Amino acid sequence: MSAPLWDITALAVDAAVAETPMAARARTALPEAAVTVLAPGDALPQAPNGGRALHVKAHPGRFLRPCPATRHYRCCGYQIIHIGENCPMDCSYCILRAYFRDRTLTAFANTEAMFAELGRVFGRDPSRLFRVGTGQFADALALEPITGHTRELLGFLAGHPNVVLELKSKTADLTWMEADPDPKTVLPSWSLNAPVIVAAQERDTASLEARLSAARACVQAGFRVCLHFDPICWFEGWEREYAATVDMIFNYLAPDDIAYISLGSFRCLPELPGRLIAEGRELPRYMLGEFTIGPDGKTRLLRPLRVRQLRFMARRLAGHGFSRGLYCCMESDEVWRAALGQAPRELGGLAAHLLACAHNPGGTRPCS
Amino acid sequence: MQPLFLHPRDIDLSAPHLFWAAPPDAALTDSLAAQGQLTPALVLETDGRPILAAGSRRAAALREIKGRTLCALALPEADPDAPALAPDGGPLPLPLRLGLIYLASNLGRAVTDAMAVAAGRYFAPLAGLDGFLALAGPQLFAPDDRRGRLLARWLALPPALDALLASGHVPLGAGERLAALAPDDLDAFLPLLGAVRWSRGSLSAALAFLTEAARLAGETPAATLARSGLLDLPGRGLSPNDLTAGLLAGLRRLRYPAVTTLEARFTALSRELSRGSRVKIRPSQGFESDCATFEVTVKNRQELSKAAADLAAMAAAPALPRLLAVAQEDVSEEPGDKT
Ligand code: SF4
Repeated sequence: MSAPLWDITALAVDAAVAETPMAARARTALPEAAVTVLAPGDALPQAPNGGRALHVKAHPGRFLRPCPATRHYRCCGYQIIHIGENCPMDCSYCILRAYFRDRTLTAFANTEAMFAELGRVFGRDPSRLFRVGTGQFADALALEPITGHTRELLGFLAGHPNVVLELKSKTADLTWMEADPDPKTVLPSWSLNAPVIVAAQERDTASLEARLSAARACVQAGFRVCLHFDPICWFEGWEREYAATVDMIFNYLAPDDIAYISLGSFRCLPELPGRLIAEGRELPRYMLGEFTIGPDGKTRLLRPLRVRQLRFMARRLAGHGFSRGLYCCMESDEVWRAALGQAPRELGGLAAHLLACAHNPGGTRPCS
Repeated sequence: MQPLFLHPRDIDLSAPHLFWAAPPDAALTDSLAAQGQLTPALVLETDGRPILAAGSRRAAALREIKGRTLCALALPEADPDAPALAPDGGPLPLPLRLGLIYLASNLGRAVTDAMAVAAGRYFAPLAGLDGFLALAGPQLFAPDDRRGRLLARWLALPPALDALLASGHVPLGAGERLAALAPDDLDAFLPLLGAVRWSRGSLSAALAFLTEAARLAGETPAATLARSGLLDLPGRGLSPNDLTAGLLAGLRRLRYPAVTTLEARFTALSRELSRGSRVKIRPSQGFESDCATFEVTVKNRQELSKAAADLAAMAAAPALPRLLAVAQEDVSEEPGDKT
């Protein structure tokens, strides 16, 4: 018997969604899991053999949400479709640690309600462009082989060519390609990090090589891809390590294959280090940087050090011929100017700039 | 119980179960000389030899008064009616019994942290930490007193540190942080421990700065401290407050070289800019933006006019653009660089 996918040994399905295609797909994908159908008010069953539970349920609220930005830092105007909660991978810096105390994974199976809401928003004005992603509280593709969520969503979005869907993941899953979407409407994307951070701080994620191989497979299938250096961590030898990852990218991809790359220095809720310690983990060294509390209440590396990180990355990427579509995630104009030489305003606003990058590879407006 | 009259010089006053024994003061000696011994001491007789269980100060004082004996009551070797205290229900071993009698005879005394630690040093090797807290805890602490937990952590430290607790240099609550240091690192920090009176908060901050700086530098806290120059600070004749502040600032500099560099640059520029005025200048939160807050309190028109003139002069000063852009300058050091 092979190990259960993501260690899922219990599948709990709310009665309200028990007959949905997603519930059926999950049963098929998890043949060994103990299946329970939950009546309203029933407690989640304990997952057998120390595994975790996947809870397939209906989401009662809104599905489309703006990316949680603050007024103090420049936001990229991304919108997120809420497909589920929690992640089977385990990154020491993950914000989900602050939200979910247990290992239960949740997938929302009421896709009809989701499509009704999305159809209203995306269909109102077909000339209005959208850049959306999935998984505000989850990895976009971690559960895709089980739920087929993205394949369903891509089928729906085929009727909305004004929407570009970014699929951000740390897996190398490409099963969503079975939906055969128009390559112009999907931006598969991967978070990248320094090799030592991937090895020590991103448990159960795909290796850098696997992520970049998947990206190359997408490019070969006609897609452009996005990459995210977030969080960029500060530790002894960070320049050498991040340079290695940047150089590795261009062993797999050409600059024109990449729609955009984001750069984000490590930031977190001030309570995150305490959470890690409470879990019995040693505090990673990158969490011992020279941090201050920013106006958004988050812990961030001291500004001159962040600038040094971002500038280094920008220069290294430029050395490989990539400067188009490079942006800073949640940074101020001061940091933008110091690191990239211009502020979002000079690009016509970050949200508009990235929308143009996403929808228009050649671009009537140059991306940078 | 028959009273015994013992020569005080025949009594062992340095027995370990008399863990709170202190030399008698003149008042006690005078009182014994004038009034005689009003309360008998307690002894346990084993093998026909009396062991003092309570009354060590009286015995010590009586040694100073020629020809006086110590009046003591001999307790039965084991009290058949006493509830079983030993974990196995059997009689308590003699050293534990002696310690408990000594504690009981001191009931009502305010127990300082140092006294509780002295009791712990006696009982814990005999009964284990849990056994000590179970047997002696109720006599040492009120039920809602959290010191039992702190005490248990302190007892993990070398006994040599107990003197710093007794002298008020180190609080009991710092035990856990100190116990987390490796023995060599603790030894290295010892001169600073005894140099000032640490509060739990300040010592905790100091140790966090030191251990984190060492971890970032990839060396031991002892090595970080040795190269810091901070071990020389206690010899510079600073006031206690200045010494504490200097040590904390020095350790913070080790941990946050870039932040403290930026702060120092800002402070120097703001001093230069506001010299001769009452304007206070603060940087943006965390130096996140290129702006500063200028603050001045006025009581009347004249003060406001003066402040306005001061601010106008600051607006024209060459230091202003440097102050506003202070966070644009590079302050980085490689993590792990030696300061
Ligand atoms: S893959 Fe993403 S969502 Fe999952 S733990 Fe890591 S950071 Fe969090």
